[in-house]
Amino acid sequence: MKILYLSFVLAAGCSSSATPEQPLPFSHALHTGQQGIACVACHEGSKTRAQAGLPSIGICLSCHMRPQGATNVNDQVVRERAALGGAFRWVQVTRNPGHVYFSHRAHTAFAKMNCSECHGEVRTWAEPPTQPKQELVDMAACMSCHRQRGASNECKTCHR
Amino acid sequence: MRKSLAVLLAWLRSWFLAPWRWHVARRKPEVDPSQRRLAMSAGVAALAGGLVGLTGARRADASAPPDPGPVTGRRWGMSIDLDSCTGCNSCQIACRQENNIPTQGADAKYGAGHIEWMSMLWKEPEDELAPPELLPFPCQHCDDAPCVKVCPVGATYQDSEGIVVQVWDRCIGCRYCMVACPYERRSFNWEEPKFEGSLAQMLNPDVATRTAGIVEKCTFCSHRLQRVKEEARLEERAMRDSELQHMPACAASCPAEAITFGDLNDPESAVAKDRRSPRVFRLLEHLGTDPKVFYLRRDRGEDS
Amino acid sequence: MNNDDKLSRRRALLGLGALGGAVAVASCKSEWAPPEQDPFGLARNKPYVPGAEAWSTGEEAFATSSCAQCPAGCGIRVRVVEGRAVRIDGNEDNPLNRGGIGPRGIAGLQVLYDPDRITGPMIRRSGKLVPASWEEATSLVAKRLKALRAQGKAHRLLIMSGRERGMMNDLFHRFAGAFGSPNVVDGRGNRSSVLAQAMEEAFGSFEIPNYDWAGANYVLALEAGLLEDSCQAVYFARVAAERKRGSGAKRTKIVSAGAAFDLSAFNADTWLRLIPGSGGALALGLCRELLATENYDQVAIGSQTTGLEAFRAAVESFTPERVAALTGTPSDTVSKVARQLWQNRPSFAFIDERSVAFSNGRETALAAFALNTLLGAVEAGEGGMRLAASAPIAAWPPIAVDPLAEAGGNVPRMDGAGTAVFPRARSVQESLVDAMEQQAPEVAMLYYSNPTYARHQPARWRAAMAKIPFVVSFSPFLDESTAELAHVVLPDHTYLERYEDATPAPSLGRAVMGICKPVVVPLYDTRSSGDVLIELAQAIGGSVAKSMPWRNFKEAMDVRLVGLQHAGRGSIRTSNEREFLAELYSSGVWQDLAGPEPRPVHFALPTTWSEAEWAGDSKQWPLKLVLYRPLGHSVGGGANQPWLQQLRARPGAKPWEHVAHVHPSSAAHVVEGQSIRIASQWGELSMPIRFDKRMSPGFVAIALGRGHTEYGRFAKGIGVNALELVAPGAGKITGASVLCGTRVRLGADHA
Repeated sequence: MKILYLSFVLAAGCSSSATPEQPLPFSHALHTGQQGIACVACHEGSKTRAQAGLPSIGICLSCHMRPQGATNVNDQVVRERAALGGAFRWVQVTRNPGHVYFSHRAHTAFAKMNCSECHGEVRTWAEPPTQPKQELVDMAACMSCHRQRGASNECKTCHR
Repeated sequence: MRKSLAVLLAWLRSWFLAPWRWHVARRKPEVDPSQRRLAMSAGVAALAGGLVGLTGARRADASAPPDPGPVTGRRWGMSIDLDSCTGCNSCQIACRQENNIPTQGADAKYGAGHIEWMSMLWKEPEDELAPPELLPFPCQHCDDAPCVKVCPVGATYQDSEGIVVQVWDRCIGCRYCMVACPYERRSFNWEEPKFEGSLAQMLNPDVATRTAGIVEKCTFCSHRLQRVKEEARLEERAMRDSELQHMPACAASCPAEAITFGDLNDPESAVAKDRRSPRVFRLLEHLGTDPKVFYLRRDRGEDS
Repeated sequence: MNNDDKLSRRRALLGLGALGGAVAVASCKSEWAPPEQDPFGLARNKPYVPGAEAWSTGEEAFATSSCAQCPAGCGIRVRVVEGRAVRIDGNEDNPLNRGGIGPRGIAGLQVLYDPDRITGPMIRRSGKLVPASWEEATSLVAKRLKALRAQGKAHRLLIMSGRERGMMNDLFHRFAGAFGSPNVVDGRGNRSSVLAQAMEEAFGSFEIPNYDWAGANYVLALEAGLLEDSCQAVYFARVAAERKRGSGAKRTKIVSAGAAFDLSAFNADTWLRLIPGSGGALALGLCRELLATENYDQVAIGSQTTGLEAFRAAVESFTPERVAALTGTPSDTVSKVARQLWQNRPSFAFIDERSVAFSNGRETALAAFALNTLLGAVEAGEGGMRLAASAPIAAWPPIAVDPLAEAGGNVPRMDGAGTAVFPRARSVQESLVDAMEQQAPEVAMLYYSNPTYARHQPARWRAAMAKIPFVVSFSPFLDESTAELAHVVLPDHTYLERYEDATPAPSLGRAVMGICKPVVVPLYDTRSSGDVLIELAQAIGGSVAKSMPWRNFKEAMDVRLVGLQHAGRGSIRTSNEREFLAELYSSGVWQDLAGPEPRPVHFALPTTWSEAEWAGDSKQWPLKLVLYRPLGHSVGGGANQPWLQQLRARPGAKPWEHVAHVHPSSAAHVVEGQSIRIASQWGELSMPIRFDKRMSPGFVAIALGRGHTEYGRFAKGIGVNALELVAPGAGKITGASVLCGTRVRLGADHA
């Protein structure tokens, strides 16, 4: 009976309906697609650090200090939040487990990969993603790409 | 028909239950009741891993022998100058801090519970009135490591540069490696590690915390080494011996600079020079483990 | 239905359920779940840290500051990831430690993140400390202080400070001076008291001496605690290692004379077992030998000392036989060591706080200074003993003194420091309890001082201080005195959260000044005690407020630090004050590039030395108690840092345990490891014993720093507080705490 119960629990747990709530409905399509802003402008560590990082409010302010676009109310929100000394608590949707080390610079600076090779066509995203991208948290996907490109498949490269 | 169905179900059940039993054998972590369900889901997710292995697709990755990584021609080693060592214990504490080693409290069963990667080993001499000796004592990262040979799941292996790696996630806690290691440099997590209250704030984000049922040991701070490698590569230069000498946390903290790390294959590196010193010795050499930690003998001056 | 059918039906159900589950699971993908539902951090890319953001900017910074946990003042570099301090390393640019750091320095993170820290001001209501606001708490204190002044009883304010040096200590002195109380009892009455007073008596400099280890060929450490009691542990470790490695020059030979084989002995090339308290006898025996063989620096003696003939006569009785009997060393030791000292010059005799922790500490210090003078090792260039060099910081303007302050200042001090009883003492701690029993102060302030734990006979202190009607504590931790006595708690920031100077104990022979600055945003609702004291002064008003005209403590500090820029020398040279301060705060340290030239001294050679006294009847209490500060203890504290409980500073040391060491012949009826009762005339306790054949027979050695009843979960109930055994009373003449001066006995533990 225990096993039956557990199976149902698991099935129930699997179909969780939680969705992440971002502080603003940030549109990559607008910023990266239309405005052509490079990934590294906001994700500062993506070429030089292990963690790409999510932008602090100072980065938003570098453009949004002045009104950008007459009709977008979020533009005003940026200035208001900054004036209060607050921050945007972006919710990171795709996260690797604690025992996994992923180095952005190893993939971008050393392997010379393009951001969209892993993250997809970000410039088409009108809204932030609501579910993690499976390929980015799936060990088999990492390993097969490593094998194809001749990168190290040694355990401690990614697990520490 | 009924009988064959029963046999099929019994076979399925044994496959189903084996990983479940393995999970239960580990001590359950302490969680509050509202989280218990999710904890059980996590446990059953482990089950799922076993089941999914049935499909065969991922099995090859999960149990393949560990890849030692690309050959670079480097061989990492460490030298510890016992003449300089003052016994201050900084290395022991720096290692604890850097690697998120849990602190067993006063009520821990000492010997069973105490986790220590870098130990201070006091050695009493035969003559009771003669001075004792002290050895800072990390994993010896043997070139012919007994622990590597006995691990049934490939959780410990030697990489191409000589570091004996411990993969937390593969370890099933059988402790064969602890039996095999003649230096007793491996520790077992008998209990779920606890970081009490705000003490969890100072966890080093670069090193994963382990769970109950995992064997752990010194890694020569390979996470710090990887950082040095990546930064050198970013600057398009080779690593310098000067940035490697104090790379591990123990070497960085030592006020007497008694611990040195570096590339044994580089004849100009500090560790290679120490290896050529007349004072050099290694521990338990007769066992043929070929350790890569070189000690420099204490030189108590002759009484003139 | 028979059993078989039932079983197989059940099995079928189970099997189907299992299959169903398997299918569900096989098609299961990783789903996003809110971070609060992920208590194990399975979905995080770093170890789970409660309260840390689930998102990450990946910010990492390295901040330079100083460690303030012990008087060494090592420079530190703190790695701060997303606002959390995750590593403390030594600062490569600080000349005191040059990148190295002691075990306590690394464990400083456990000070900042101590789970039992006081999180905000507290006021005692109905016997319990309850949280309060800063306004409430400070106004309560200010009101009380104003009332005290108005009643003309300003001198009934007692301030107990645990600091020996530094601007915060100066600030408390300044406050008391302007307020009208002479009663500031500070750390100078504690550790360095004897040494500093002996240095003043001999050479006119009230500070512990510098020793130039790097330049010496031979060092005789007399009962010193090189890595343990000494203020200069990390510096010593660096320098000793360099000298041992030889770095091109001759290897320094270190001979350590001491009671037990401890870390000092371990670091020496030769260990001489010495009966505790007899270091002075050895020094005087060596003096006699040097004089007898005419192997002494006649120029130094001629120019630096007076009374040579009287000295010669006085040491005549310290024959090798008598010295051997007093010290327990072999009779040829004196001639051998004397010859080695002379032939291997530059050489010197090293003493520190542990050497003088006996009743004859002052005489021992003077004997060691005499030996050094004979060797020509005092203020003589390389490889010897130097007077402290102080950094040329500016002075604060003189305090404003009103009639109340003047009247209060004329009242004699409670502790008797500076009177005929303790002529050279600046503070006396152990006599204070007698004075308090006579008349308790009206208001007491505790600044890093924990007298109901750290003084001799804590229970007596507790009783005496319980009569004080208003006690204010600035402690960030709920120590014994704060928990038992304080009426108001105004918790200080920890050193990683505040601005403060780091005036180090002298070690280099040239002046060094470090600074502490906040490396993280303060975790809790604490405030820098310097800021609070200034605010209290402003609230009191009048001349007290005028004497503290700064907005905060950093401003007060900067006023003095710019003196370094005005001096126009040292490692930071700028054209204006603002740039100087910016660079000082960024680099963490200023240092003089060279020490002062040797200064003339006039030392009246001593003519007396007496054996150490041990209080208690020798028949009833046959053994002598030796207390010492273990590795990581320094000026106190540390018990709330669990990593420090796991230090292995002795062979056989086990984490968390607290044992007494005794020679097996002194404990014939005791089983090793068994809990045994140790009693003195004044108290008793129980603890396990460990035999140590390398100890002097007839002594019991116990480490200080354990046996807390408060101070957090890691300190409570671990070990025993050996100060409960120690005889009360301040040492003669110096007023210092005589840690090693009590007789004890071992008895069977009753169930």
